[in-house]
Amino acid sequence: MDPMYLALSLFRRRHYDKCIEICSSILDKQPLDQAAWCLKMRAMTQRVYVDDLESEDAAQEDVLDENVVASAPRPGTSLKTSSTAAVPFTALGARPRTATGRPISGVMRPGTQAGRPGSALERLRTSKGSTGQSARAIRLGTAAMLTQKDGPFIQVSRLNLAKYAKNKTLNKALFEYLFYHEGDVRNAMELAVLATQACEFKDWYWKIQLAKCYSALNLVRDAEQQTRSALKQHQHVESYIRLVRIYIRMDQPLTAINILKQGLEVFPQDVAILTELARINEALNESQSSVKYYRSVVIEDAMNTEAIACIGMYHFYNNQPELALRYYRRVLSMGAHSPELYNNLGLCCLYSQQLDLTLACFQRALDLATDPLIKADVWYNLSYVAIAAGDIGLAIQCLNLCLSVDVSHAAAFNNLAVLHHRMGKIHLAKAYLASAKGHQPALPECSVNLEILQDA
Amino acid sequence: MEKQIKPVFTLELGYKIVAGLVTIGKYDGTHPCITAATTTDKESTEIAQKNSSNVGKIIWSETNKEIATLNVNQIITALTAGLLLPNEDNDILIIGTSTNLLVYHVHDNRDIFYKECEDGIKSIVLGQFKTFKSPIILVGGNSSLHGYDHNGEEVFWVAIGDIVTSLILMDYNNDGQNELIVSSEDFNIRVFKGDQTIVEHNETEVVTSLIPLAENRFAYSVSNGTVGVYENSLRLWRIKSKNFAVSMHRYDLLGQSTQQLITGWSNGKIDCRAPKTGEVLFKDSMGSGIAGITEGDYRFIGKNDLICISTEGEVRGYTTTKTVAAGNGSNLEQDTIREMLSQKQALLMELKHYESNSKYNSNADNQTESFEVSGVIPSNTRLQIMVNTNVGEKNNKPHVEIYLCTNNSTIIKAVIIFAEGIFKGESYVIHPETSKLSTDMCIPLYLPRDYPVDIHIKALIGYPNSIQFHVFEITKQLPCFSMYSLKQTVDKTKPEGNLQFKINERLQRICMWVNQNFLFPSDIEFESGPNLVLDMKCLRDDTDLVLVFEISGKVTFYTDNMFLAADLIQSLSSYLKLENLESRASFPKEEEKLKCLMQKLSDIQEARLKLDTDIADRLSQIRNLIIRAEDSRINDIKEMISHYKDLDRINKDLISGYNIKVQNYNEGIDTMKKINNIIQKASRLRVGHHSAVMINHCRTAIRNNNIEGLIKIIRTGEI
Repeated sequence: MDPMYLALSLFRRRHYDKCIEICSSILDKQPLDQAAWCLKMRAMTQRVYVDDLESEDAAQEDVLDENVVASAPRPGTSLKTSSTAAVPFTALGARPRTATGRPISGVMRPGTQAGRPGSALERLRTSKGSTGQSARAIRLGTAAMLTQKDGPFIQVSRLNLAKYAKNKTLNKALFEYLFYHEGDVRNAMELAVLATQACEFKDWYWKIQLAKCYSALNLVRDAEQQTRSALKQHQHVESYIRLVRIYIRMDQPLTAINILKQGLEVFPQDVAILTELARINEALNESQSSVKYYRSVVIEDAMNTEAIACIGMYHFYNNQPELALRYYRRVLSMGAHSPELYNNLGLCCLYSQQLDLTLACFQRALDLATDPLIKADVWYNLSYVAIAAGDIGLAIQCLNLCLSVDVSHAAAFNNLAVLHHRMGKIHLAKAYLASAKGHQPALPECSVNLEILQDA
Repeated sequence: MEKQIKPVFTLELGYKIVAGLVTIGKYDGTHPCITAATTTDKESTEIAQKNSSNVGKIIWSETNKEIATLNVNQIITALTAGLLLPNEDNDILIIGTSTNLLVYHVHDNRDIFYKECEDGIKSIVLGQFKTFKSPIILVGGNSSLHGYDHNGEEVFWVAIGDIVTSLILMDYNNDGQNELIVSSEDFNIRVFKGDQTIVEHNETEVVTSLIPLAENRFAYSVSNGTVGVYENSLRLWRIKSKNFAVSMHRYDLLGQSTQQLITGWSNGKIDCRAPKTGEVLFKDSMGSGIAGITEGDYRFIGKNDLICISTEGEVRGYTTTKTVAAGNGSNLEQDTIREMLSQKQALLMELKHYESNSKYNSNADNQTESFEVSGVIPSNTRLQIMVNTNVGEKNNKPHVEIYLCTNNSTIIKAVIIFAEGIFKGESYVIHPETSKLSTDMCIPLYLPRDYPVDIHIKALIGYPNSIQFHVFEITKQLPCFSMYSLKQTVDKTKPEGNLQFKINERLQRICMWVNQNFLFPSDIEFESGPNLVLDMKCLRDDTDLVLVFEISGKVTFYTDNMFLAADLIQSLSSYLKLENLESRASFPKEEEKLKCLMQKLSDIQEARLKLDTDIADRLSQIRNLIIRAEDSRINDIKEMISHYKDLDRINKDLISGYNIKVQNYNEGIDTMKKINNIIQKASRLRVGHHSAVMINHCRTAIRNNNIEGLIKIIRTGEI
């Protein structure tokens, strides 16, 4: 069989490693075979490709950058205030969140895990830090080095970018290789600039790529310009989403919502856009409209776990644990298998009085939880089971276990304090409350409790 | 008596405010917020907003602060607020920085649009213009003027030729439509109706700000401390001060039912003047220089107050006070009486002088000695004036000279010339040495620009030994093109550049125009022949100018100076009252220059992109290094040193990179300015409708970076 044909077939079947091998052998014989070169490039890119829109470490604000215009925006117009103290105390708004400020819904979604508690500067001090370049970008750089035994596939510094930029068949593959495989934003960007000039600024693809590069380099405003201009030429869901991400970085959720609504006019009922809308609304504590959008998502795509889980959560906090249980079971039956999901199932079972399943679910959740933060949350929730069973000793033990995995779990400290207070150890309770306050000063419960203790 | 107007409220912002960058807006539709740019130690500039705190709900509830800051990571150069979006009554804040325009919805914390303005932003005005239905944002840059609608689309463009210092929109000629008045750093005030320039005023210095007043008047301030008012093309008054007017506003402070002109000065003085006469009606002063004056319903009483803000962040509010006006009324009578008394005194003095003079004259002529001492001169003494061009000799440049002489033995002791825009300052005094006193005097004048100048001459006439002198006053108008003289010898070569057009006029009338606008020893007259040729030389730079008027109506101006050609055609068309005039131009030197400039500009833009990426890349390296250095502080203290060394190196790189960027930016601005200057000149080669059409074509050509097209447009006025 013609090796080239085989390589193409392998590429299509996503056997990237084998595809790369065959391409390499073709290139050994004919070093100037552009088709093989291009295919190898694409295979290598695809092997490490991560959807950067839906990946966990979506770009976040940086200590050294200030893209945000308003330092004290009105409530409801910014994402910054909603995750911390200013949560309104309505029945729907006051939901417990993980220490990262993420609503526990049973699904992971981009951008909710990266935000560790504390400001970015504090993160720096505790050296848990995140850099402007995302972790993935660094990983990619090293990945590129690992794969090549006999030197890198493409010597980027020796590339004549101007030549390749004019070649319409090669430039896109080369760009993606540079951007995703090499993680070399600068050269990728240079290529994109040259290519967009070569096609006289008529190709929206290059504008989006330029915007990607600008975003990676923290030049948010330039990214905005490029994306907008790309949208004018060609309306694409990805462009809309990218533009929205840029505005979220600038902390302008209302602009983002506007853009999404424009997008919905062009692409009615598009799942990606609806999901994005629902996420932003949730971040703004507008849970009702958020659920409305999630419901529209489910109508379009009945298998969307994120939407189902979020609707389930809505019902749970709306005092309808039975309904929530149905949604979570739906997620489970679709094959999702995560500690958060079992945790939530357990809670639903507890509150809908299906006590036989409760502990089993939590057992599963504990077995699956590897991340200490998640584990802490599961123990924390288990303490509620203990309290519901009236076993204060077990509850205290659960909370202690929670604290053993995550020492900065303020809610656990608070609950411990309450339990100890009930047992008559007021001084211990005060000490716990004080440390809870120390870990998360914005937590309203501990301030209220402290006040009560002071008065007593 | 003038201190009777007391501020109705005062407050402190606690920030230092940049002069001129103050505005007020109702961002939530009802509550006015003062918005001002503050100076900070960092390079970033912030905008502080102060909310009206005593009434209404406090909007910034979660911070519980009255001042909210907005972060703009660039230096703010212009600031304005107003209604922009149709069907919405929230004011929109428009922030101009040196490279970008940000239109920001404060209430919703969202951008309306964000635009890169390569030409920089020096001034912004928001309002109705031309036939656009909704208000548009007009942005004045370093050499051009852009108009954007609320979607961020560019809807208007015009080349100005120098830095736009101020913009206002007002109904200039009472036709019910707004005209755009633009002041720029080339001392000009231009009035645009649509794309067309309808009026141009020249000032002596850079006009810094403009403000519309009632009844089609507008006030202007000049960087040398002058403030004045124009009504249509007529200047009503002007005053000059040592300080410099920062901000002007119109407000009815004295309850006179018409609005007065309020001026805020750089030394903290505030004064209120009558717009018709310039008379000061009220004065107050603040602790530091004024940063801005605005008005708004700050106390929430349903009526706007006048709000003055100083650079130290002090805010004072004034309101209309009727009682003062009444108090002034009684004072006015006394004032008038006092004034008339002093006038009477002066007249009496004058009469006395005349009497003594006539006494001497009636006496015999042989008493010359006593004449001289007492400063009496013969009653038939006349001062004669001649204005001429002088090609110049070796040690003095070519100039226009004014020759003054008396008709008898009296001498000219000193001459004071008062004219705008010729001298540094506005007056020039010639005081010859005692030994060189004579009956005549030559005064060289170097006119920097082609513009008609009124010169007021005051000559002190008397005898060498006189103690008192007589003052003779003469006013003379120098024609527009004084600095050109006819050549004695006609040489065959003509300048390369030329401008051709056709007019239907008799050559006699053209002669009249020539005689009125040039300074020739004798009047030109057209006798016969196929055409009238005038071969001239410019006294400024020694270049040639040849005007050829053919009897068929075809006119050709040969000159290499496009600016001069534009001035000539504008002057001619206004003399002949031509509404529209089309022309064909050919200025190879300018075209070559334009080509070079366009090339340079695109090079610069390319380089800029690269520089931006470099800087961004270094920034991300720095971020990385900071984290690593801090990490190694815990793990490996030796590594930390090397990380910090790297950091230092990259930081230095960054600074030098930044300097390169600044230079690149400045060069870009400079090039842009030159290009716009050429386009502006080219548009003035046509008159009326054709000029507007040309500007529009140029705009499309520039947007598409079409150099050949641009040159063709400049040549023919069409695509």
